[in-house]
Amino acid sequence: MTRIWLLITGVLAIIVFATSLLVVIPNTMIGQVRVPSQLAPYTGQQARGRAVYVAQGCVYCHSQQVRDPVYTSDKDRGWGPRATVPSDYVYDKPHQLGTMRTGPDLINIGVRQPSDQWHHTHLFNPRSLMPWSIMPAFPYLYDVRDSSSLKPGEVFYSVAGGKLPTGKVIVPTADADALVAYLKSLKRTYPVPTGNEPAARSIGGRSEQTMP
Amino acid sequence: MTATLSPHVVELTTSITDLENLDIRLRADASSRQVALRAISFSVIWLIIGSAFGLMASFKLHMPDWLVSSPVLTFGRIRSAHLNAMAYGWASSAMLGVSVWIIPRLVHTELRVPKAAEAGLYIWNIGMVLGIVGILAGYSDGLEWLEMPRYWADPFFVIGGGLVGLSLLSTIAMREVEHLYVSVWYILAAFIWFPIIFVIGNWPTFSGVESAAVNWFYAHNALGLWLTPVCLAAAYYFIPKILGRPIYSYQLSLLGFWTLGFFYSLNGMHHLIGGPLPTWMITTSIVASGLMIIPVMAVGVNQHMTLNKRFGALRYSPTLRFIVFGSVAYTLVSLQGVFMAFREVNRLTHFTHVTVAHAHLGLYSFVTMIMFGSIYYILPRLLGREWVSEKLISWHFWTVGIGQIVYLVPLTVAGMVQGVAMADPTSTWEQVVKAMMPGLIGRSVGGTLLTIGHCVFAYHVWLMFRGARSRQGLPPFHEVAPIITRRTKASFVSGGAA
Amino acid sequence: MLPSSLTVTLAITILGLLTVAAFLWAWRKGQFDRINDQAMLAMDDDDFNVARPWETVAQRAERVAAHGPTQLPAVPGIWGGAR
Repeated sequence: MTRIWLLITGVLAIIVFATSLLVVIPNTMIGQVRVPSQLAPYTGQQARGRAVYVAQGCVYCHSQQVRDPVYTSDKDRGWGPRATVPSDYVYDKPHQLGTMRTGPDLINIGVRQPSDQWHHTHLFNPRSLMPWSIMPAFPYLYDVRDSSSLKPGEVFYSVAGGKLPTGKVIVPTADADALVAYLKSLKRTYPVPTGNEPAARSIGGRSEQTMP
Repeated sequence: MTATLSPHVVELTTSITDLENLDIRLRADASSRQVALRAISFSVIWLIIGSAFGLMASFKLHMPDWLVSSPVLTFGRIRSAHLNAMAYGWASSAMLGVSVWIIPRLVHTELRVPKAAEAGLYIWNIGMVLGIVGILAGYSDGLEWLEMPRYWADPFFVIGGGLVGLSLLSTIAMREVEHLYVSVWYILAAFIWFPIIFVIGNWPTFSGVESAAVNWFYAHNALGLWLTPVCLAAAYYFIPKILGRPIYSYQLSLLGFWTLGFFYSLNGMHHLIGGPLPTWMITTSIVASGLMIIPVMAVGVNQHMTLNKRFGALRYSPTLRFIVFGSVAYTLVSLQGVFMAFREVNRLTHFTHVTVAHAHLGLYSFVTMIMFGSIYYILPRLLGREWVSEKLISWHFWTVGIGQIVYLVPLTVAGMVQGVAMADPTSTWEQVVKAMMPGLIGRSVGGTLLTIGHCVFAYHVWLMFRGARSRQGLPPFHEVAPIITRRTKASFVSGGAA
Repeated sequence: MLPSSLTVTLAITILGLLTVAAFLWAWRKGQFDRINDQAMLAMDDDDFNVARPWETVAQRAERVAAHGPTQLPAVPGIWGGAR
């Protein structure tokens, strides 16, 4: 081959074709997804918690998707009543679908673990609840305090498993509270949206004014 | 001087005559010298930094209470710092150096606008520093392979890569040969593809599953349309050159080029098999993944047939040894990738450490080994002196060679056990975690070996830059120089100069 | 982004046809003639004149027959054809 322009044309054609097929066309199609009426947008605190989730890199060990029960055991493991669908993720930016399950899937963790106490002590040190866990501890999300120093009305948690000296408790930081609020909001148990609900709105480039 | 040759070398010898041909290479090397040397030194620095992150992340998975007091050192940040330092710092910097060195040689002219290439290299590496600091400080974009902050790190890669690409394109435009060798195709294509896919991957408007689709469209293409083409270009240059015979089939290499571009670019969605995407997208990627057999076999057959009946060469040339290791790994990892893309296999291997092992078979055993081999060839020619020590090269090869086996085998097996355990809904999560433990520990052992090898390599490169002379007193070796071999052989090709 | 998949489909089709046309043009212009000769582009002439210790006697004879006798660096320390 002697012509550079021929090479460049071919190279560009390849990438334009692939981008059209896997980015542009899906954008026009997925753009038609309806927002499920049962799925609320993240509150300010939940959105902050999601940012904490992203910044700590939780996605490298935790997926957020339930695959088709026909050929996976995701549903049978209790990770969700059905496979997740595109409309379950309309508010997720960036997506956190994940490609690794060193830990369990979290798309329905808000259903499985509704307890603040569980989440906080688990985040402070997962081995306080499960000695075999290999999840990192996140002590920097908590203030460790003497129980005598607590002010009235202050929320605190004691940690089991000998992970704190006696007399010490943990007080969640705002980031920890936000993260737990986000985790508790992860629920995709409503029926698959059919797109016919009265509250359904289209999202995507052409009707952005309807986005909440 | 009189050469002492082995008795079975019977043909006459003459002195060097082809000065014109030599002159082309001297001019080409002189023009790319500064950029290539800097690129190689930057890449080695990133290699060491990336190794430290990788090792730390690996140990953290079985020592979860180690270094947890600061958010900077939490697993999720160290892991993505490792990936980015290795893929964009080490591999990409090395690739920039290899590209600016190879292209002038292949088009028989000097590197044009070398200042642009050099500026591009600096800008790229400034982006790297900002990106790693951003990730560690918690400003990750949250997309795998695209963690570096979108607005204050990523533009550096588009501009930096673009400037190097501009220099390469100008060089090719001013070429003094008529035809373009296949390595030129691969490198030119990679430098066109990278800025495009990187901008698409970082485009800020996507959300939800679209964000996932674009994420994996980019992430797979970062391997397929950026790292792979440049590494294949290096293999297509060095293997024939060292062996002294052209590649087996040039047609096959062209078929490989176009099919690689066409099929690889559609592979990305196989990272989301079973996920909440339209099935046709995932099926497209599975089909394209299956068709990857064509470019992979084209490369594999071609390189095998070129090497055929000359496998003894692997004992002599460190460059050839590393590059053939990398090429074989390319065939293996690609075939493994084809199988892992099938739904029946993927339902077990998806979300397991098999994927991590697979990624390292690609990024390490293929990309990194080819870059090591290239640097072993390029650095002595640019510095005008032989590698200092055979022993250090040998140590480097064997630590990383054995390190990879110790890394990959237990992790792959443990990942499969993990996958089977996860597929069985009656197994508890405790059982799943315990299934992966041997692999995680094996990885730390293997990773330690790899890091030792990297330190040996970095030390050797440092000795070279510092101006240390070869302890053997041999003349500067070339593609047939008997490094990694018995000394009796060593005195043979060097013409008895020792 | 483009407004509808139909536009995209048409654009891809046109682009694909253009690529095919470019390929046919290149073919007719003879850019793919004698293609295996282009494999020699990576090689420098003196690459064939260096003794390689792994060569068998037959392989060496074959190389010498095709490319002329083996050369050695004239002076140790000077790279000669080994660059």
